[in-house]
Amino acid sequence: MKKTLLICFLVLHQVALKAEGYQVNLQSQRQIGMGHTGTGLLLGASSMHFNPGALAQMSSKYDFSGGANVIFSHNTFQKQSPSLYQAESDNPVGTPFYFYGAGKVSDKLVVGLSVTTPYGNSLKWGDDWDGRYLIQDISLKAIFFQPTVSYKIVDNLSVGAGFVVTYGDVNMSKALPLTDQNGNEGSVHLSGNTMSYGFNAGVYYKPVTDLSIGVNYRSKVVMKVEGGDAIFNVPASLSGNFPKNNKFTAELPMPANLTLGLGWQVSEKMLLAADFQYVFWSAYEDLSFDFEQNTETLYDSYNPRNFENSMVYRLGAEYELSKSINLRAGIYYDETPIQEGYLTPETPGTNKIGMSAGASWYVTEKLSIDASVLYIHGEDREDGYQPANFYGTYASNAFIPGIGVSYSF
Amino acid sequence: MKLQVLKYFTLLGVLALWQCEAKLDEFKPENGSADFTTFVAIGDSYTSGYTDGALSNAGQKNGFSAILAHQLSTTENYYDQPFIPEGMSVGGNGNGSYKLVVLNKSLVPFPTKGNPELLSDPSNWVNGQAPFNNIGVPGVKSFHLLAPELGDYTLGEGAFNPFYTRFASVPGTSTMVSDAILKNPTFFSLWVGGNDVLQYALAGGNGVVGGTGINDITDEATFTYSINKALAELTSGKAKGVLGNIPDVKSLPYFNYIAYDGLELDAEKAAMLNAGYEQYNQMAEANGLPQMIFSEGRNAFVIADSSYPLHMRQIKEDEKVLLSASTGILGEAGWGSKEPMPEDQVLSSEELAAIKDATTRFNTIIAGAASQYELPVADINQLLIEAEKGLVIDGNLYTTVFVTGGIFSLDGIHTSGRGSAVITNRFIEKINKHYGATVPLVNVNDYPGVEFP
Repeated sequence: MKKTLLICFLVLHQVALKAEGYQVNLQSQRQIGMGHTGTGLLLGASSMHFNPGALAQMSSKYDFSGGANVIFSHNTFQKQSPSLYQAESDNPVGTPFYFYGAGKVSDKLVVGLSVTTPYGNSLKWGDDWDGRYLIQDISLKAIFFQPTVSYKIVDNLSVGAGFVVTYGDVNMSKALPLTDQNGNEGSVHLSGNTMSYGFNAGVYYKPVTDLSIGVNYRSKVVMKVEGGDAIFNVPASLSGNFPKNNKFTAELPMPANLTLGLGWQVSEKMLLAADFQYVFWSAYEDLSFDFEQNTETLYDSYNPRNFENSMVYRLGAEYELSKSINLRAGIYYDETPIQEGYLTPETPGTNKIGMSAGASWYVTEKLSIDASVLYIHGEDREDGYQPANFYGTYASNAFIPGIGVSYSF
Repeated sequence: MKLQVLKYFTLLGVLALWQCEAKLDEFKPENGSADFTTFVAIGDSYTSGYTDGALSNAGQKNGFSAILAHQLSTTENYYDQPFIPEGMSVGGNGNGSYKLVVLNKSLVPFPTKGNPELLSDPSNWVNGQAPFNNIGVPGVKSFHLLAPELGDYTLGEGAFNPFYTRFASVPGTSTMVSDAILKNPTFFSLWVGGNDVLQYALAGGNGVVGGTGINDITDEATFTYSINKALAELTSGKAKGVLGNIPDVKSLPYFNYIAYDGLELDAEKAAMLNAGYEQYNQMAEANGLPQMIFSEGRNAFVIADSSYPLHMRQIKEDEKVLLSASTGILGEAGWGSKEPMPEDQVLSSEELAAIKDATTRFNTIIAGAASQYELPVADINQLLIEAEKGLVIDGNLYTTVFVTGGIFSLDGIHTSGRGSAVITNRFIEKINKHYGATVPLVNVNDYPGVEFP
């Protein structure tokens, strides 16, 4: 296990904020190309994420796929008028990845394992920017391991479920308004990791030949960091108030998702898909740090977030150009879960539109190379975080190319 | 086919990357009906940039008027100041800027060695470069604005203000207002009147209410005349401007740091004091006056009070001890316990009432003059009342608490760079509202605050 964790650490460099809140919807190239639809489709091994119920419908005996994306994201902040102040984040390039492997045990039973990164956040506003007392930089990484079983009840109806083990890692820095006599400001760095658990279950049903329906529920996974490191840098004369080797406990929920997906084989060559994804963001009520050692000046910090449940509407299409080339396109609209007055630079959420395109090249019948590009445009949002009285207009976008391979036999 | 797909991807990639930066429109400041071409600031220590108990180069650069000037225009050399040379400082007592030091395990503001020669040696004066845009003079009251004597060093020490003498265009002849007019200002800030009350408070109320002595509360007629006359002259060239009103000194840390019941005693010391004041208590009982009983924990200080039959008593909850009493309380003198706190270290409830009354009257006069000359007033009195409860600015909580509150510098009277920025934003908001301008606000947290060792 230790070794696995180490690998996770190395591989999972930075996952940038891609969907609203801190969800990352980049779990399969084919799906990204189709606006990340797929709950109502047959996707082979990658159904383990989108709908374990559809996994049992796998046509080949074994199916493997894996891939990664590269996220170039930008966030800009213009302080509330009248102000000349603008800041731009220097976000690390994110590289989320996925791996799926599944095999048929019998005609009706399929088992598999998926490794995905459906949540994450990585923002770097800088040490000196104007919102530094709220956040300087944050990196949240989560990796989901999901052993899965899926069973075909009858030919057009199957169910499936997976047990989710999550490894999570969080790192964040904030400035503290305590300056030393050389003009250097204090800061606090919080870091920790944790294991947590959840499940993923789904049903797949095909009422008629050309139409398929899927329902998927992915449970909430609460990342609870206990004994995380809290490192304070403060002027020497104040160090007594900020104990060295302090620890903290904090909780961050990765919310549940309920998705209804539809698939429609319009013609032999054209497949359309739609997903309606309901995200239970209201689980994220606050971000609170409970310090092991409190002092006169260091008390536990409570930061309300009050996220609201939100919807994502997705549409996708796939066109079989030739035996060896499939082309895809998709679009989605992702509602922000962040209500007015609770918009922080740590998750500067806004309603987002995602536009994607993709293609697969079947090198052989068994092996395909899958690629996608996704451009996410965030609506400009003029709002702020009331408890910190920090207001302005946030703009964001991201450009995400990705590549993967699929192999089935 | 493969090639075409590749091309398609490349094109999409280039397109997306090309507009990858999340752009927002840049903010464009507007003057509205005001003209900021030439700005002068007239006022007292706050306008001068006095902070941490002294006037220093850093303080001048981060003072209220310098910050305001920087927001009004980005033109080079827009705001000429009578700069103190870099690294030097001079306070009212010849001291240098205060610095926090660790003394007996606690943090104490301590004056550095100052540069009194900047005031005392005429070769260090900067009259040759006059007039300046910053006509802020530490210590001035309303009636000094129009007084040529303010800079007249021939009058002898104590009778003139060397902070003005060092940069007056013609010491002994020019006045603060005449120097301002030499600049042909199109816009001015006038923020005076603070010292018309503050000096009385700093002297522990040992002055006259309605006089023109250094420790007096200025009489109303003089105050009214001075403000109106200064405005008449400043606006004679069609200049527009902004005024600031004066805070109730009760908001300043200088009058709040030492609590009335700051006498902390253990059982032994309390018993000693009770024994020491036995005679007092017998006399008090005989005269039907309250006794002074000390107990373990917090106790009200003992203060001198010449108007009290026994000439001393315990301080009341609504009375204040000055910050300057700290050394006397902690030291051998034992002020407030075995010796009564001297009268000039205490503001009695009557004195505080006189201060409050004068502040209200002066602010009414400032408001009246402002409306007569159609000028906006930044309500700094209100700002500091809000700050007492706490102002959250971009994630930082500011209060009026001494040293840690962030608004005030180590002298407990003048603002830190950040406090000055908070005040500047209040002025800018008023300017914008009155003139339909959009002068940008400053990022308060960019300015220097209190620095800890």
